Amino acid sequence: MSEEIKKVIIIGSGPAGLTAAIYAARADLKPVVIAGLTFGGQLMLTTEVENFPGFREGIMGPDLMNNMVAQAERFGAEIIYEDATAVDFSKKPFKVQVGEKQYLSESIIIATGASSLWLGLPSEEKFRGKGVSSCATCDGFFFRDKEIIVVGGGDAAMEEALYLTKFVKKVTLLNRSEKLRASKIMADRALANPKITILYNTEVDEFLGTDHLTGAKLKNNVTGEISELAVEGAFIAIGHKPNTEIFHGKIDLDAKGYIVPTDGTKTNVNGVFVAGDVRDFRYRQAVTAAGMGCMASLDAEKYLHMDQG
Amino acid sequence: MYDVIIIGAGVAGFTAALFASRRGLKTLVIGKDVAGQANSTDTIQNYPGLAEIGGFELVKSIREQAESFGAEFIQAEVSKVRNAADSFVLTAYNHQYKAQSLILAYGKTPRDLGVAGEDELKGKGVSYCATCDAPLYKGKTVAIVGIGDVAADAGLLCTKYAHKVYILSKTDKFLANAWLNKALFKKKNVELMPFVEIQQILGESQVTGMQLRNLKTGQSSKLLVDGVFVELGYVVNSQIVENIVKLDEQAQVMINADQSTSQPGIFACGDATNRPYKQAAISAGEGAAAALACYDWLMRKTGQIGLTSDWTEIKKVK
Repeated sequence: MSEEIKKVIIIGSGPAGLTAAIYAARADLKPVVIAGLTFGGQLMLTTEVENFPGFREGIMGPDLMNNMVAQAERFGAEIIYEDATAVDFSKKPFKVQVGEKQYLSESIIIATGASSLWLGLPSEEKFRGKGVSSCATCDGFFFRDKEIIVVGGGDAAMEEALYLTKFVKKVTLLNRSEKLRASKIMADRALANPKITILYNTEVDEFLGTDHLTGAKLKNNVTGEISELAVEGAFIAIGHKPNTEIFHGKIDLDAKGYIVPTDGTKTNVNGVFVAGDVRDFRYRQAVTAAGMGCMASLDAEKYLHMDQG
Repeated sequence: MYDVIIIGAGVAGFTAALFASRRGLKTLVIGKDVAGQANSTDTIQNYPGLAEIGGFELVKSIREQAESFGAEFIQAEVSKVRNAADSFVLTAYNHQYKAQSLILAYGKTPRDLGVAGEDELKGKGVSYCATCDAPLYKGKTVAIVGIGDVAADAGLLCTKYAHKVYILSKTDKFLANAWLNKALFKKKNVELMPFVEIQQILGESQVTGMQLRNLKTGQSSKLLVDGVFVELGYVVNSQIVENIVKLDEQAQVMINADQSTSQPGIFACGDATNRPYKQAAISAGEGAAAALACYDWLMRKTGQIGLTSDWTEIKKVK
């Protein structure tokens, strides 16, 4: 096996990873991006992105990510469309295992992002980006004056439901148990909002429609009763999880598994940097991730200069 | 009364406006000149998602995007910011504007070289904006003062027009990033003049040359040029808020991780902050974060719901 030591390996290929790649490549660091079998991150699951600055007409999420890949490659980034399966940060050079192959690098940028938790219904997958969404901030605007459902009973679900009331005609919030798990203050606000109706002990059995979502089949999990509700949008707000399975025990994570930045994009391992949703559970925007990716690359560049004197 | 007024009309300011207006905030952007520092870059190749775009064009696009969601823009220079009890009051060209919160995004202004002749010949051959002025030097000779990325960008652009481009450095080093460095010195009409100090910019009604001193030999010489591009980076002009928010020794606005400043209700983003790196992508990211932090602050202040995440307590574990 060739044991060439790379200057920087970027794990992940959403806006954070690819912006880091664009910058690292322009700085002649010849970055290797472990993009994953499904590259591009969460934006690949969206349709039109209206809030990425610079695209006044909006851009389709997958198009935006393809643009970034082309841009990174143009400056000399190497993109590997496989998953990183293990890492070793215990000594330098750092090791990244990609299936059978092992890569060595002087520095690492972790940008593996986060995944929305989904219900896991086949019909949910069918209507993703066609009425079913996991991001009210991204997609709320499309549902002006429409009727929608929000699935979830935590603070995030309340926030999404309340936020969406600015646009939509009616929100039906589906809570799986008989009590909301959200904090009292959040629950009270949702309960007080005239646009929000809460159905307890209720789950989605199936999403309905042909090309686009037109309704949902609901199931009361106490009585077993099935009913249908006509809606054009469904927001799944049952939480996110950071994609940090391979980093457990290798780097500081918080209780939910997000990577803990120390200063800027630095982590507790000198030479390992972090950007994007894998560390940001608050803003979670494509452009904030991109900005952090840029910073991580500049931080890595500085680290490499210092490390080499 | 606006929910938020954003001071500065560059990438950071209009991105903040985009996110604030999308959150339903009544948003006003006040800026002296549209585009700010991005104006000084002819083509940006490292803004994610756009293979190549002019700095001005990028900002114009973000501005239109923000306006499409209801943000307003006024071209004016803010001369005063007052922290009233329940709001911030801004003065710009004798008008007053009130807002519940502010986002500072006024960026930087070019640094002067500080030699004789510079002031007198500004706009008469002495320029701080290669994007704006390089095309004026078709077939002529220009000098670039500066050794960083902005100088390299300016130099590269000048090579497209000028017959000859001198790069002046006090040492023999050129500190732009590797990619730019390579691209610049590949050009046949570029020449690095090492170990020189500029003593004076010469000319009556128009730049005719420069008086130089060689730092190794001490010898003085004259270099005939038609234009001088001063590309020494930028300084922050924070006078309007110097008594309201905490600044660092370079007058940059000191920010916390969430873009808040020392003054509740004032947020900052982009090149005016004390973050070390100055890039359009970072400005955009910070603009979005500042707007969301501002939204959170405004909501919580009035007992409404701000941003929430899936949980509130974060414990660090190994």
